Amino acid sequence: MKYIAITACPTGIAHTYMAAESLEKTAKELGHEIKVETQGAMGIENELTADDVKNSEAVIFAVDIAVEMADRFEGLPKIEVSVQDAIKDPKSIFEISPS
Amino acid sequence: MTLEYSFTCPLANGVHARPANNIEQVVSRFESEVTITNRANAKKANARSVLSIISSDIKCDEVCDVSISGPDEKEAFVSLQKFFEDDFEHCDDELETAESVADATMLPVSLINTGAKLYQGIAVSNGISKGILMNLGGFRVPQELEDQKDISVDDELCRYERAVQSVKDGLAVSLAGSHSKAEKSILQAHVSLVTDIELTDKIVGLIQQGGHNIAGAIRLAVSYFDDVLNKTGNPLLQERILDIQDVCDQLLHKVYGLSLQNDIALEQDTIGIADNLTPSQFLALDKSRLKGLVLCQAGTTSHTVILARSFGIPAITGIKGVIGLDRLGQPGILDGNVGVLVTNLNDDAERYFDRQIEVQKKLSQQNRQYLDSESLTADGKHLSVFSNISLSQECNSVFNDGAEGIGLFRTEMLYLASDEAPTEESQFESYRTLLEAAQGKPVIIRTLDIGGDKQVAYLDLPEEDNPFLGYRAVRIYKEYEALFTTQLRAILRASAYGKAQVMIPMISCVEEVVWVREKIEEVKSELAELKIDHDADLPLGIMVEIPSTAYMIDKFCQYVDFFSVGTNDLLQYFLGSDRSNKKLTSLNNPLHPSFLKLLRQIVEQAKRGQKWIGICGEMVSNPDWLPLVVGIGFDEISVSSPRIAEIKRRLSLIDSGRCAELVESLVSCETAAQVDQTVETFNANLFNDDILDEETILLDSSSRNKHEVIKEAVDNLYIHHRCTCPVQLESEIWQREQVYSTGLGHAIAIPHCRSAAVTSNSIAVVKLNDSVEWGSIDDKPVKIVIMLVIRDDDTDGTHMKIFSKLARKIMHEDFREALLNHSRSEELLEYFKNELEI
Repeated sequence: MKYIAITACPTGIAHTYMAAESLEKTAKELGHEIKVETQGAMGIENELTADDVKNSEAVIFAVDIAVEMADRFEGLPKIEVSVQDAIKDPKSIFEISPS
Repeated sequence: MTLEYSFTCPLANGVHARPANNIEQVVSRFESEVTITNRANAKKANARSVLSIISSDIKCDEVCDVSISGPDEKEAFVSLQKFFEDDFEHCDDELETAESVADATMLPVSLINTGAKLYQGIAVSNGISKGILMNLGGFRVPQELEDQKDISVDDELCRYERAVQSVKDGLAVSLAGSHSKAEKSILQAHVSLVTDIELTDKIVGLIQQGGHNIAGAIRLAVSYFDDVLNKTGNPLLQERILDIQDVCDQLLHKVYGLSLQNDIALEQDTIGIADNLTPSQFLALDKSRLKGLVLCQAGTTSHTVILARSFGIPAITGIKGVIGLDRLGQPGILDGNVGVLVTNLNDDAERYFDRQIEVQKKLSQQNRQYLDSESLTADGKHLSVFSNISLSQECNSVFNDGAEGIGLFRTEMLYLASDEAPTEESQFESYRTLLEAAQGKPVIIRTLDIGGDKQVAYLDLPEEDNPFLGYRAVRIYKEYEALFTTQLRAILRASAYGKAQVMIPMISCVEEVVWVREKIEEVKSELAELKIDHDADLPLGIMVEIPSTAYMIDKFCQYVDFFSVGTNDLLQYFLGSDRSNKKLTSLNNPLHPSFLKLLRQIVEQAKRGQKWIGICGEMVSNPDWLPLVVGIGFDEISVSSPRIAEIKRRLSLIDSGRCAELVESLVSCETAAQVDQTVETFNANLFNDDILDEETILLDSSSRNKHEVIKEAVDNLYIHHRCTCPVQLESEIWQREQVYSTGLGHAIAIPHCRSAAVTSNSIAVVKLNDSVEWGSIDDKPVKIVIMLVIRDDDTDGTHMKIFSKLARKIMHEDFREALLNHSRSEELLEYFKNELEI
C-alpha cells in the first residue's frame, strides 16, 4: 500500500524523528511504500506535496500535537495514532483500516 | 442581669492572635464582664485578655456563647453584636497580603523528590553544611538574675509595674512612627500582650505567692503560656509564643538593663536561625561551630551577610514560611548555593547532599587551573582581579583563591567588634599583618565607614531617620578627628611593611578630599619628625559612590591618585532605591542604561586624568557582566574570592575591543531588560564547545534512580561550563518527562529539552552500573541515558540536525547494541562521531 505520514512530538527534538524512522523501517519490512514528513523543531522537513497526496492511499498522523497545514489531506483516508504508538508498535499501525 | 449572644466562628484559621486582639479591643471600651464559652471544649475565656481568648482555642465553625453583665451591658452587647456580625469575618483579611518576596529561583526537582521538608530563601553565602538547628534570637533568662533572692515583694511589684508602663510607652512611640500596616498590627498585639490580665496575674502571682523575683516569674510565666499554646497544635497560635517572648524580653531589659547578657554558646555543629543579627552579634559566635546561618529578614547585602561569606559560612535570607518550633534541636542541612534549608532529613536527602558536595568539589577542582594564571582577556589585556575582605584574617584564603591584591579592606569591622574604639597599636598590628601576608601585592585600606547601618555605641552618633543618607563615613571625621587621625597613623606606620593604599568612603565634594589630604600631610610630618618609617608616597584614593562625585571626576583627579567605584551604594543613591529592601530587589538593577552611562562617563574622565580606576560591589561578581566592566574600561575589579576562578576563565574568552563595541550599543537601550538581552546574546557567542566530547560522557555511574541520573548528567554539563543554571535545566528536562517518559525501551532513554540555561548545545551520555526505572515504553529499566540539550535561541540548526540523526539511529538495533558494548569513553566517542558524522 502507498502511505504518506506526518510525525510531530511535543518538543520536536527527538521523538518526531524516531517515529519517522520507525514508520519508514517498518513500512519497508512489510512491503509498503511510505513518505514521512517530520514537523519538528527545525520546521517542516521532507514536505508532502499535492502530488504525494494524490498518489497515496492513506495518511498516517503519528502526532502528539496539532498537524500543520492539515487541509492538504482533506478527503484522504486517515490513521490517527500517537508518536509513542509509532515508536512502540509500528507494525499494528499498518494493520489499521484507514478512515 | 446578663445579656447573651452566640456566634459561629467564620475564620478559617480559628481565633488566633489578631482576631482575639480585635475582640479585646471592642470589650476594653466597656466596664462589663464579658465571658466567651467555647461549646466545643467547654473552655471559658475572659474577653478582656487576649491570651485567655487564644487559650480557649476557638476553631472554624465552632459555636460560642458570649455572656455580658455589668453597668453598661446594653451598650456592650450592641457593640459586640455589631462586631460579630459585620467585622469579625474580616479579621484575617490582612493575612493575604503576606510578604515572602524570596527570589523566584526554583528548587532542584531531585531535592524536592527526596521528601525532606524544604524552606526556601535567597542564597547569600555559598556552601553546603549540616548542623543542629538552633534559634539564635531565643528567649533566655540568665540563672544569675533569678538567683538574686534578697528582694522585697512590694519593691518587685513596683519595678514590674514601672517596666510595663515603660514598655507600653516605648511601643506607643513605635506605633506612632510606624508606616507599615503589618508592623502596626504586630506592635498593637504587643501592647495588648504587655497589659494582658492573664499574663499580669500570672507574673504577679508568681512574685507574691511563689517567692520568685521578676526574672524567675517572667521565665515561668513564659514557660506556662508556651505550654498552653503548644497544646493547641495550631501553628498560628504557636507563633504567638514568639510575641509573648518578645514582650517579656522587653520587660526583662527594662528591669535589668545592661546586666542582661546576649552571649550565645554553641555546643555543637549548629545551623543558627534568627530574624537578623548585627555584625557584632555574629562576630561573638564561635565560628568553628557555626555551620550555617538563616537570617530571615536580612537584606542580601547586609554586612552580617558579607561577614558570613568571608568566613565561608553558608547563609540564606528572606526565608519563606515559619520554621516550626518543633524543628529546633533537630539536624538540618543548609544549602547556601541554591538557597534552601532542609529539615526532617531522610536517607534520600542525605545522599542527595553527599553527592552534591562531590559536585561542588569537582567544580572547585575545575576552577583551580585559573587561580594562578594571570587575568588576561582573549586579546591579552590585563584586568586586575582583586578581592574584598572585612577582616585581615581573611587575606590568606583570598590569595589562595587567586586574588592579585586586596581591592577593599573594610576597616569598620575593627570598630564594630568592640565596646570602644580600637587603639592605634591594635590597628597597626592588623594592617601590618595584612600587608606582610600580601607579600608585595597591593592592599587598599578603606578608612572607617561608620554610621548608616553600622552603628557603634561609643561614638554617640545621633539617631537618624535616614541613616543611608546620613552623618557617616568621611562626614563624621571632622568631629571625630582624633579617631580618624589615629587610623591614618596606624595605616601610615603599616605602609612601611608592604604596598598599602588608602581610600576614603562617601566622598561627595572636593572640600572633603582637601581636608583629608591636610590631615594625611600632618600625620606624615609627625611621623617624619619622630623618624618612624612610613611610605611618604602613600597613594590616596576615593570611593565613587555618591552621584555628585561622579560628575566631577576631572576635578578630583587633581587631588587623588586613584578611584574605586562602589556599585552597591552608587546604584542605590543613583536609583533612589534601598538595597536592603526586599521589595525593591528587581529595581536595584545595575543594567539600567542610565547607570551604564554613568559608569562610562566616570571612567572616561578618570582615564583623561590618567588615574587608575577600579570597581567593586555585587555587580562585578556576576561573570556574565564582565564584558561590561571590560568594555567600559576599568583597570581592576574587586570581588569576593570564591568567584575569582570563574571570572578569570570568562575573561580569557572575551575580546576587549568587542566589549567596548558592546558597551557603545548598550547606552542607547531604553530598559535594563534590553541591556540584559544584548549582553546575553554577546555571551552566547562566546561558547563553542563540541556537541559531544569525552567530558560529556560518564561511564560507571552509581546513580540509583531516574532523579539521580538526570541530576548527574545536568551537573556534569554544569561542571564543564555547558550550562549556566543546573537547577533550571534539571527542571526543564523533567517538564519534558511529564509529557511522557523518554524511555524508549531496549534499556535506552533519551531525555531532552531546549533551554535558556544551556550555553553550549550538548549530547551528554551516562552509562549506569545498575539499570534504573524510567517509566519506559516497554516497562523495562534503563542502562544508558543520552541527554540532548539545546539553547533556546539556537537558530543555526546544525546541532538540531545531529540530534535528529541520533534519534533515527537509536531506532536501529545494531546502533543500540554498539552503545551498550563500547565500554571505554574514547571508543564510544569515536563511534558516535562516525555514526553522526561530526
